[in-house]
Amino acid sequence: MGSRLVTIATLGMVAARSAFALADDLVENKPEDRAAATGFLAEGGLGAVAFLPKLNKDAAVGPELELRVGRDLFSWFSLDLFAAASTHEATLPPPPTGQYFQLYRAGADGRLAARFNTIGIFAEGGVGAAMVSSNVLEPANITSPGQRFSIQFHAGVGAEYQLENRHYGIGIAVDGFLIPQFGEMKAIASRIYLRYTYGGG
Amino acid sequence: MKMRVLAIIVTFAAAACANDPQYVECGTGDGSDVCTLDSQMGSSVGTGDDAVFVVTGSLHVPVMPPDSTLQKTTTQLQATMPTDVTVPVYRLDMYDLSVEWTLKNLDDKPTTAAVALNGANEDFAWDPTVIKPASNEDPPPPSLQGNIPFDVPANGEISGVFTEDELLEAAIDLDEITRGNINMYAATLVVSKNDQSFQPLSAQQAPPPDSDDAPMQTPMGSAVPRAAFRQMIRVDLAMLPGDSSVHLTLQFDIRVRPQITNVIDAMGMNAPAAQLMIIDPPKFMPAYTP
Repeated sequence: MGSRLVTIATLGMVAARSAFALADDLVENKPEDRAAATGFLAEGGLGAVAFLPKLNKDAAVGPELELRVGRDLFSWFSLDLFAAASTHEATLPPPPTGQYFQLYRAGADGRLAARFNTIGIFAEGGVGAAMVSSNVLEPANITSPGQRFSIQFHAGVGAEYQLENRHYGIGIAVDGFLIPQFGEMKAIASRIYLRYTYGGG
Repeated sequence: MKMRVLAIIVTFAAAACANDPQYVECGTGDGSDVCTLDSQMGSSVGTGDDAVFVVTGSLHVPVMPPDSTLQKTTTQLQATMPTDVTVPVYRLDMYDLSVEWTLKNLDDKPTTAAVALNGANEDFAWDPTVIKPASNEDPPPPSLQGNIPFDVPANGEISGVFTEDELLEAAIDLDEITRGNINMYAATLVVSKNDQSFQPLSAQQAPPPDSDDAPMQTPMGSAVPRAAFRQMIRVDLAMLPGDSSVHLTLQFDIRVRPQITNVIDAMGMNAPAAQLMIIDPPKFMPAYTP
């Protein structure tokens, strides 16, 4: 009986001590002074790609999925690797009719960011490679016979909202990209995204 | 371990890209290919009531000469076949085909027209206009697909497609007619696209002098398994205007979906000649046309 009482008392003290410790660690993350994690990050976004003239008459607006991983080198600068895929209807003069193609882009970019409490703004830009899934745009002289790959450049801006959990941010971004070897293809890629930062710093 | 992961990634990437479609248009690979048909270039074929006004054009599938891997696969497959069944180089399971076309009426007068699809495999071409039925009362030899009249509005434009299923059926019908001696009307009217084999028959023969009925065809040799069916290596399109005085044009291309990586040239018909296997086999003439 005595040993059982000792055990209960010991467990009670441990539980009480843990509760005090959690209360000590809890910091209120107020909107006017919201902390954001920095470190390794991952981002997933959904959006759309719209081509600019002259290509916009040969390819329709299409949905895009974009994934990023990167590292915050400073609180105001990060380096990212990205991969994006979008799908589009080919709207060039028939034939063909009702055909779709996919545009894949991947590369690296840098992001300069500034934060004002919960809101951050950023500018990003980089370089990479692009691949088109088929030669459906060849009749419009956008790709050459056998050509599937090109270098690509992109730059854009965006805004991000820091959630109460300092690892998460949501945002919108608009990038313009140029793919010189695909008939100087120019397009606007916009996305909404969720970003998770692993670090605590 | 790293090499294994890399090999898996490369294999999946290659497989993922293998059946992306490729759109084939006329190119420098074969100057005789024609992708735009103009009714002003047409001519009448046949005589009397059977005469039809037709414009035809052909476009090759940009198949590559068989490399050592493809030759090895063919040899291995041949070893599994009965000795009297020949495995073709270009087989059904290597690539899928479809044909997209657009017909334009350049005059302000409505008319009718039909678009018919024929073609060739590596051994025989099918051209119904060179086959003469035994009697004038027999129906004209069939096209492999299409040849259904439709209305074309004045200054109008109509687009259509011969689907992968239709080209699959056409390829099997062509193989059945040319290798299997199967009656051309039966072959084109019966759906064969899911057949796992066909039984070659003895050649069709004319009826004996004292009878109106042709002798029965009998099974001849081993059944040809689906793995040895021939795929088409050329598509022939025919435009048949209802009124030869109306100016029509027909533009078409082939959509190829390769199922293996080493059979279709990525440059299409613009590939250097040495990279392409241009085959123009003889036109098939049945021994007797019922």
